[in-house]
Amino acid sequence: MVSKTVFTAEAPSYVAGVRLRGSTRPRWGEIVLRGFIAACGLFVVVATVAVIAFIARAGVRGIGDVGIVALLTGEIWKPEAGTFGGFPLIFGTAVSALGAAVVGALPALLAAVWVSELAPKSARSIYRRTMEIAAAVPSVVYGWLALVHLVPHMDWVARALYGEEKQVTGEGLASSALLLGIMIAPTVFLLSLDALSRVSGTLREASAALGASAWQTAFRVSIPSAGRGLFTAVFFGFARAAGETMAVQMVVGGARRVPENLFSPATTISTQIVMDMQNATPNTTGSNVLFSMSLVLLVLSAGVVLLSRLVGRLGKAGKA
Amino acid sequence: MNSIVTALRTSVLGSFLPIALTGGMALLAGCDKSQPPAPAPAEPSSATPNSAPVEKKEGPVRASGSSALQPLVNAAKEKYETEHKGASVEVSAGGSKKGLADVNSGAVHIGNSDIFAPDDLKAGLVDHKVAVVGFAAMANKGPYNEKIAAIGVQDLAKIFSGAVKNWKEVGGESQPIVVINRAAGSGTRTVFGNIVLGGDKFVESQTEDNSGALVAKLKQTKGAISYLALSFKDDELKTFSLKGDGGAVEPNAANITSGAYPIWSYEHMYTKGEATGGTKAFLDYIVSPAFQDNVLPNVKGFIAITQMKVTREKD
Repeated sequence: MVSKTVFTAEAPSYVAGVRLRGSTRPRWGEIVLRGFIAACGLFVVVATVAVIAFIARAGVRGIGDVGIVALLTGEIWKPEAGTFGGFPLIFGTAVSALGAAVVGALPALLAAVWVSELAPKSARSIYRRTMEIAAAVPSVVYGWLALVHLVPHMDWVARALYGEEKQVTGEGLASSALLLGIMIAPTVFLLSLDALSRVSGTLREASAALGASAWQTAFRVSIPSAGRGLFTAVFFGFARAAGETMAVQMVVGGARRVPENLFSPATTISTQIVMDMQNATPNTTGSNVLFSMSLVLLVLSAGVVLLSRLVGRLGKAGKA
Repeated sequence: MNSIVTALRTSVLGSFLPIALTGGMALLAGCDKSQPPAPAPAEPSSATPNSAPVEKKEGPVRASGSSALQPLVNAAKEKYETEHKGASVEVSAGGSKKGLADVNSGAVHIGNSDIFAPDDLKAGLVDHKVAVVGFAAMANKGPYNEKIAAIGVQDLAKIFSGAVKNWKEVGGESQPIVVINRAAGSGTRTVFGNIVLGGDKFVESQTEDNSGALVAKLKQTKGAISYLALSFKDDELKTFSLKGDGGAVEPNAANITSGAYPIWSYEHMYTKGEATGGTKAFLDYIVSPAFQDNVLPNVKGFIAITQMKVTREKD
């Protein structure tokens, strides 16, 4: 409704403004439109700050109730008994996100190098379109597919690795990491491809003119030049993997403990928040502690993104 | 997952529906006032406000909570809605504790629960015991446990607390035991834990937040064992009898009503304060002989409250 009024009010006066260039008549339409757009920009900032402030407020209370050391290092998470040891949750999140970075982000990055530097030019848009579709698939779909098709196979793998006598299942951090790897690969691929496409063509031409092969150009010129962007792509993938909830919940098993191995049920911060929020009465320790864990997750993800900036800046400084 | 959807639905319905309804009502009332020029001023004050709003304003009766009780409430809902034109009941499941919390907060009219309300909620809630349901340990079927017909309570406690890790330790063949738990808010977990383990002493393991999903998981996981309401008994699952002094006690209606099989609980439908209006009518229907004697026996796993020869005051 707002935009409509702006549009109708603005159109004629804008035209008039053009015709009467140099006149002192104020262009109200433009002023209103500018104000609206500025408000949109401000809103984004205010909303983000407000979200962080709300999480921090309840989260800090939760930390106060439990104690930061107990919350981060305690190994028993049992809200129904008033025990809040967040280590199993943090451990599960960190391991599955790191695992995803290894099995998903690195291959995706190399795939982007292949497509950008080495693959036939005509095939590039096919790769790109395919990955764009893959990136648009909702996470619940990935989770459901993994539950039906990945978990039974991982069960088989687990038994092959540990033998029939060990209590292992297909649900656990291995499945979770593999699923997350598949989920973040398209994002990492597309971001990496963008980073590589920003490398100036003259650099590649210069490299080729010096007699370097396509492989040498890719690995000695393009990748180092796009280094910052590639780091950002991988870190972004990591942050997304750390925050993913729905899909992970389906395959991670939901046991609130530090697992013996990658093939026994575990949990992560985000899945545990989903499980526990139903029983958490607002403004109690049980609810505040969930916000504390959200805060930990936020710090983890934001920290990783900030780290990627830092790495980028250092890399730039080193080169200059 | 299911429970998240439920949670969202109840909270959305709980907070917005009344506002929407009262808002709508206020609008209608406003229109009414301006439109009819009131031919007979004495009549509307007595007739119109009584007849018109009372039938329409009564929204659906909303119930949430125990997934063990859900099949029974659904059966009652179907019969009740066909017999009472215009009445409607909405049932969702998300665990007994959620049902209790929802009814206490006013998000739903009826909180379905497998367990007695805890002390902190007891004061404001009114209990309606509508049925009895038995629970049993159920497991994935395989050659490793096919010879085990009954397990003693002590052995069950050892399995579910993680002390016993292999089927061969309870009379089967060598196969690791995979314990699957219900989530912390589950009434089934609470009842089974109280009676078999003397409290929530379950080993931390795989967790399912819904009985239906658990049945599917048990079927596909080799060596898996869990606990379910008898309404979820399934021929593709192994259901264990209890080993007692006088032989195996099967989890069936006769043994539960006589008190021989101890793992059972009442199914409660809690209301906040005394039930009124459509909620009362629905609850009256569920405890009526018409339902308890004719419909309930056909719903798998439930026992009419009138059949019980033993009683209980707490879980």
